[in-house]
Amino acid sequence: MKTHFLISESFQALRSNFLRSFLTIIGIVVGIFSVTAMLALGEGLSSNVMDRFSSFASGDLSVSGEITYTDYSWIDEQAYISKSLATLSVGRSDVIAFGTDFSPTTQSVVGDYEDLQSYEIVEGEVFDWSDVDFTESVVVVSDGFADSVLEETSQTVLNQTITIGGQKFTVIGVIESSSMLFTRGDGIVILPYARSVGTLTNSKNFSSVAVLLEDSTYFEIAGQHILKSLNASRQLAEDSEEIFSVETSQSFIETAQETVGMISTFLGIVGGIALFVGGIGTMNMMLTTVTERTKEIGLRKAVGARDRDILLQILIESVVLTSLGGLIGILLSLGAAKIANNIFADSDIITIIINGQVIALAAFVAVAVGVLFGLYPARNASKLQPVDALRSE
Amino acid sequence: MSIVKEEKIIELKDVSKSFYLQGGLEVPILHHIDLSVYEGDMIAILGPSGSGKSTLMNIIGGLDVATSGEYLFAGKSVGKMSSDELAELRSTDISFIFQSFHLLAGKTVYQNVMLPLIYQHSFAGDYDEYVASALKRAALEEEHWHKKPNQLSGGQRQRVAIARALVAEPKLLLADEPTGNLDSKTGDNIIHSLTYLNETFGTTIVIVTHDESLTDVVHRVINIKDGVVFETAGKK
Repeated sequence: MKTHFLISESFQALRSNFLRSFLTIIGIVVGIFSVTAMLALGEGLSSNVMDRFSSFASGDLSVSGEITYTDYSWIDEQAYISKSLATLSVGRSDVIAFGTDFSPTTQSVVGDYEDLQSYEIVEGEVFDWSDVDFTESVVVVSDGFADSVLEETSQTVLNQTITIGGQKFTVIGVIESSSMLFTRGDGIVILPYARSVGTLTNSKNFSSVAVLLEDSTYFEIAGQHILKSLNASRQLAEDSEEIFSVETSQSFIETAQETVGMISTFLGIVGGIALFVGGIGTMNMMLTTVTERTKEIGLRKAVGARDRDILLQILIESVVLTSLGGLIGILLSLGAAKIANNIFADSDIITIIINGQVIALAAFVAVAVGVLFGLYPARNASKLQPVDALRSE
Repeated sequence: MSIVKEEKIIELKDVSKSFYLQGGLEVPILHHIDLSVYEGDMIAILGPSGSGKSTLMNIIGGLDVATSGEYLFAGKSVGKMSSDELAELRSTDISFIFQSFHLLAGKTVYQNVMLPLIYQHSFAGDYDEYVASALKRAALEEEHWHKKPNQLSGGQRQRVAIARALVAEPKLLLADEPTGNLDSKTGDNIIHSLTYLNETFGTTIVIVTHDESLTDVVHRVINIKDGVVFETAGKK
């Protein structure tokens, strides 16, 4: 049977059972919509979470714990260390600008901030990050903080005075970076280390030290050496993680990838279940169709149809149903994604990403469901004996 | 008058057919049948209900296979044909006219008649030309060509079925009780059409029926009773 006849015969058969075809298509629409939406949600989640994790995981290694200035100095002096940055969380949320309260992340940093954060100066200037004796009451803020202040008070914060923990500081610069820390919430305010210790925070210890290695391929050996040495200074077992822990950015990202992958798989399974139900609906319809059209199939065979002509016709009917359902499902998903992205425009986490890969996968799945769930009814139809089929009631 | 040629189109040699019930119980339907039909012939297979005439027609038409014996169609052994070869045979050489017409309700007259052609892989002719020609030979007025079967009378439906059987220009036309669902006047018209096709185009026609009046229009009558055939001369 020629291909164009096969296709036109299939469409004609579906048209003649319009309502049933339509209801079957709806089942597939729901299934494909679910799969596409879940994949897109997973894709968006993956992208956002990975961005965030990547930005947090600056440098090749991250040492956490109660790190003294001496510990930091020792780390910085190691031959395999290229750049380092120690961070002290000041932890003051009572930041007031122009009489309005804000809640930025407040921290002090020492070391190669520029290399580990890759920031750019938007306005003003920055102080010397490596000067541990700098005690002037100045701060550098992220563009996220500057934007929050502008939005809330309609005033620019540069060269203005803000209050942190009841003490006054002058904003001397605004910087921006791709780091999520810079834009999330009220952004970040960076104070000189010597100015915050003893006045805004009682702790002198850094909470983390990020380092870039001379050769990042040796991150495991370097990480082990740092942990072992720091533990030795506290008379702890060399692999103890009681006080210190060393994370490689690689392991950090891998863990994040695994977690996001699991979430995406779970979402895919949820969508897949809906699609499976749609597929069963398709098979049910095709089985009913074959039963109802037994006599027709017998006649087609009596006038010369081969087994594979019948098989292909029923299979094409099934694939046309699921493909139409898939097409509508994908279009609905695109529309829903647009609406959802508008609603969640301010969300850092929920973004629906329907890229070409998701669309291609959904289209492939729609066709595959048609073949998979249409094959059994089609095979049944093709194996009917013409004489029995013609005799059926 | 058609000329009956010497070439055998159908040759059944010692053909038997049995059905098997659950548990393997054998129910014999046809017993050691020998039958020859020549090109251009017009015969009636006559017998009461349950005599095995429809089973015989199904075997001749390649819809069913014999349990034993040999069936040659135009010299080729049908029993050795694969499923695809049987389909090819039905597509090009043998056509059927059924008592209950078997028209597809969702298709127009025109689409119903075209159906056999779409299963012919080697068909290279003009579809419209063949369909129109078949409908004209079956004497169905052009005003009905684009109607659905449910808009036609019984006689008109049987003409559509005849046109469908003719469209592929088969060597053999098998008609199973072609007048069974028609009133006598319409039935006479249909038989007249079949006679016309046999005489004008030399189409070999086998009519399976229990209507003894048909013996007047055929060359030969094959009587069948309890699965056994015996031949009587036709009245024509």
